Amino acid sequence: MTKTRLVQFAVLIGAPGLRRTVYRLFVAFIAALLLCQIALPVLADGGPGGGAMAGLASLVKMAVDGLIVLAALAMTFAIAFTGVMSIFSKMAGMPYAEANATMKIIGVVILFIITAFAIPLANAVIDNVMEYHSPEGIHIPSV
Amino acid sequence: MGPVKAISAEIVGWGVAICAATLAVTIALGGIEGQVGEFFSIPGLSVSPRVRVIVVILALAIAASAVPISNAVVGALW
Repeated sequence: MTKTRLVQFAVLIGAPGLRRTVYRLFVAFIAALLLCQIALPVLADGGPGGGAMAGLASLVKMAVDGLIVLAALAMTFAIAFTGVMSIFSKMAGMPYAEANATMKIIGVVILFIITAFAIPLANAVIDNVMEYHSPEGIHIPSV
Repeated sequence: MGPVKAISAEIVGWGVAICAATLAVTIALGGIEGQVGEFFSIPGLSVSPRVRVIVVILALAIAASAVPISNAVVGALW
């Protein structure tokens, strides 16, 4: 009986779908460990207003800062590439392509501004939403 | 019941904090996704972050009002 179950488990492990899932879980676990490694110093030193919430806030700030850098790089690449495209379209006498390139640059710049203001925007939304946060405690039903 | 209330309040606080953190990351990621969509002329990538940000804001609003909602349900039932 036990042997049969072990064989069943081995067959299950051998299934490619399950292997993929286990691999993804492993990657997620390693990523979570790395994130904890980044957040732990913040949790450990305590500091003024330190603690788990401060650690989470600091972790998110770091992630958003990284995303802002990535957005800046994407914007630089987009401006350079679209500029060259604009030159070629002007050279070939294609006004539609030139206008398209110009609009693309404007869109990318606007989106970079939104990315750069992610934290102030999020703070504005959070402050406005938390105004309606009730200080009242949780009611436990009496059975 | 006191410790249960305290633990529930702590969990709700963490939920709201995670929602707030998700909102900040979603706005930043949405910006990059929009940039990529704009650059490669993929309308789906340009438009989907807007809807996602709105959904995350709604989720934050619901998370922030979790206690009043649950109290209203408890009050209505008991």
